[in-house]
Amino acid sequence: MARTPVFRLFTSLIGCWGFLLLLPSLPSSVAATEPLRIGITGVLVEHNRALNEQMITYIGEKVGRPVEILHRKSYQEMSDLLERGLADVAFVCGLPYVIDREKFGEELLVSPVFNGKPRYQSYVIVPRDSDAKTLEDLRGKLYAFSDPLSNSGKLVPTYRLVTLGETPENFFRRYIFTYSHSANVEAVAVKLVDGASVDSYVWEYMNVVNPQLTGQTKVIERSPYHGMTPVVVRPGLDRALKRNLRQAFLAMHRDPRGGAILKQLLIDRFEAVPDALYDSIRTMRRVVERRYQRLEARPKAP
Amino acid sequence: MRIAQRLLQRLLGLSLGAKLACTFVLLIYGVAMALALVALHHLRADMEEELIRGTTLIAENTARLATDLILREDIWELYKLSRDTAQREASVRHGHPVLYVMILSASGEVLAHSRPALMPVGTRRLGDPVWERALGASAATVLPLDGAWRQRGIEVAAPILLDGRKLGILRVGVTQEAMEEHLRQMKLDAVLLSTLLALGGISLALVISRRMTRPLQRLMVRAEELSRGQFGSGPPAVAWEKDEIGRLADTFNEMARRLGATLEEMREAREYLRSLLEGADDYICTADMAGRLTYVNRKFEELGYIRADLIGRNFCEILALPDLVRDGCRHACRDRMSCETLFHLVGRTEDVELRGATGPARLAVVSVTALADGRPEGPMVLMIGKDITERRHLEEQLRRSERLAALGVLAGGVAHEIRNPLAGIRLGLEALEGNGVSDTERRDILARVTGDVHRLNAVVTRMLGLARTPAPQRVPTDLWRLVDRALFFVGHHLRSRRITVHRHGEARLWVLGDPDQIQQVLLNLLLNAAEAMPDGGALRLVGRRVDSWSGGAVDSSEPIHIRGDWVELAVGDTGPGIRPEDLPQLFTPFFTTKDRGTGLGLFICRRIVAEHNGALTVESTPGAGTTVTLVLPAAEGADAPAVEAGHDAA
Repeated sequence: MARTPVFRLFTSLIGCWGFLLLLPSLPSSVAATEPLRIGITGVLVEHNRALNEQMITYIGEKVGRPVEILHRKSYQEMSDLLERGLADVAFVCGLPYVIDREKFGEELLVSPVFNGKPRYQSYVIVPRDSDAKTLEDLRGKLYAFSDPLSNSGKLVPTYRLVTLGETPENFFRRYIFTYSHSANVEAVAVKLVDGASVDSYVWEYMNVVNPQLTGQTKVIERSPYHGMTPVVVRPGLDRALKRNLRQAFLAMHRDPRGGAILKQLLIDRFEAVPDALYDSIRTMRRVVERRYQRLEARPKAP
Repeated sequence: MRIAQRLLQRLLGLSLGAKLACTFVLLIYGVAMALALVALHHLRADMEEELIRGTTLIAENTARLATDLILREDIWELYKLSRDTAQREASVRHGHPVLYVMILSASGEVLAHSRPALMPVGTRRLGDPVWERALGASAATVLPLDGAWRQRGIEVAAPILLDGRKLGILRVGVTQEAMEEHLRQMKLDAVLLSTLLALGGISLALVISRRMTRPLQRLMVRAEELSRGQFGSGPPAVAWEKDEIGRLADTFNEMARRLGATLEEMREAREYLRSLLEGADDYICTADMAGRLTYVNRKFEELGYIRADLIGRNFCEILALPDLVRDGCRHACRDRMSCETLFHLVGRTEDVELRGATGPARLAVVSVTALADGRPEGPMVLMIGKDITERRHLEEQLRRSERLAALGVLAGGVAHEIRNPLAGIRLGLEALEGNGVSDTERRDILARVTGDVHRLNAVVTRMLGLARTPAPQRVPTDLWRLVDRALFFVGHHLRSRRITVHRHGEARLWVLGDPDQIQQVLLNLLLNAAEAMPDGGALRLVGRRVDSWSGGAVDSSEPIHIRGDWVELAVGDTGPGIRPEDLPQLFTPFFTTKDRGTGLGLFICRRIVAEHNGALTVESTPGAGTTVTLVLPAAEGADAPAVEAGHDAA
């Protein structure tokens, strides 16, 4: 064949193709240097931030990308980042996920498995010497929620009150947001509040690493199980990347280093979970929203 | 209180060394403690100031941080701020732990507290003055710590401001207990250190005090020896240093040496004086105010006494003063003489009789002086007596011889007196023997002879009066009569010299005395006056009573004014007078200006007059005459006819 322009085009095309074909199988060190933006919310990880960062770093290495860890205080902020594509991956709660999925198509990646299940509960905790036996005993008291968008830290107790015909606004004397589950434990332990709602995973984790603190509290109610706080990705994230991420998470517990981190975090492993896992959260959200709408529609007292 | 007193006494009774050591120790202790306390006081002030400053800083800084949170009413963040502030500052601030950090809303409601269990959210303390002050603070204010904390501390309340609007109050409570503990510890350390210093100082003090007091102790020992009279014993006190103590030791040694030497001198002097006293041939004794003898010298042994027996006995047991003195002394008690009697004698010389234990009494002339120069035993009387027993005998003999001499003169005069009448008698008898004597002539002659016989009789009678025994009597005597008699005896001398006699003065002059002795005196005086006017002149006799006289013969040092009833007789002549240089010696025995004469007349006269407690004085103006004044004690007597003034020529 002669070196004609067509021949040149053909070879370059084959070269591109080959290159493109080869691209996925190249080792990670040769990958693109653009950092992977992974967000963690303080609500969840304030108590073990370092471990979580280690975990993130590990994941980054596994997918062959440098990571940029984005810390945000609230789920709302994290949702904003994801919505605007400023974060690629995030550790969020079930409620923000269901909201964001509906809103802009946030995608579920994996969920941690805790005590053999990718499920957790919402605890109502009170000071150890408190007389309260149920949430009803905390009427007129000072209560702590974690994040307004937290499932275990806000939605579940609100749902519970709504089913009793109450709302947090008229049930409690006052409630505060601590934007941290571990903070809620401390708030109850030091009697800053008369009761609080806490992510069971966080409480159990703290019960292991800081039993003196949890020892100042007692769990008076345990909610039904709901889907564990997931790891989500933004819509539009590269498919391959998403696959790799998922793979990295799922294989983490088998990796010696990863496994060690997970062990410290008291997480068994990560699991790929179906979206239907979070239907219970969806239900609760609907019920609560309807109640509030009805309340809004009520004529105001003069 | 009593215990304190006893303790004080005990302390003061310690030795010098111990006192020195104690003082030293107390001084160290006191200084150290004082310094420590002052330092601690300042330290406390500094620490308190720093506390306030630090706490204010915390409060203000935290208030600034809280501004945002309080706007959002973020209870949890406000709690975390309080908690973190309290925890952080607790470890930093030099042990001033922050007790709490509290955040109040502008309305005074608790929004956060570092220890929520103590102060739940929503608490509001109404009426609490500290809370009110905190709420009202417009700048960082220091408040007292709430009493419920039961510890010392402060609180600083700082307003949380935004653009001048007060959003709330931040209150930081800080305990001072750590500081107090620190200060307490320091105080304890100071006490400990002071005690250690003091204890350490004790040894130093003991060393120093030993060094200082050892020479003093040696001095003290020496001083005690000296006080006991041991002079020569032991070496002199020595101190090596030449400081004050060394000089003291040197001076002390010198003093001891001088003292020893002086005492030795004194002992020698005393021995010497004692030997003088003892060796003196005079009676020397002393008596106290009660008249008791306190000392007699050896001469008293010649009276037969043992000296020790005499001490304490009253002097009147030994001394017998002449009666004249006794009677003349108004204060004398008849039975016992007191020292007042003696004092009456002070400055005088008297004849006394010393009764001996054995043997006859001795006569002595005693001079008495009073020694009252601040002696603790009181005034003392010193009597020095010269044994004049022999001399008195001699004087008596002399007097007798004088008397005899006077008698001789008298005899001459008498002989003259007798011769005339005898011649008259002889002539008359011869005439009667003759023939041719008429009866008328016979009668005349017999009458003249009888008259001469009467005259002879008178002479004999007068002579008899003169020749009485010379026992001195003290009787009231008419002086003028004695004068008359004396004039009779010397009448011949007077007439032969053509001397006129003038008598003046009082008619009644009665004196208390011995008539014969006074007579002797008068004779002597008249004879002297007569002999002073060999070529004629006037003899004046003036007699009067006086109630005091200024005594003192020309040779006495001081005139004596003696009060009482006295009689003064002045015998004056108009002779050439006595030369001034002879005056002092007039009464000296054996002094005479005459060719003949023993020179004893005036001396004896003086003695007699002195025995009568009177005086004899002489005044003379050369060229004009001499007046001898005789003073004798007056006595009461019968009236006598007045004497006519005028001539009394024989």
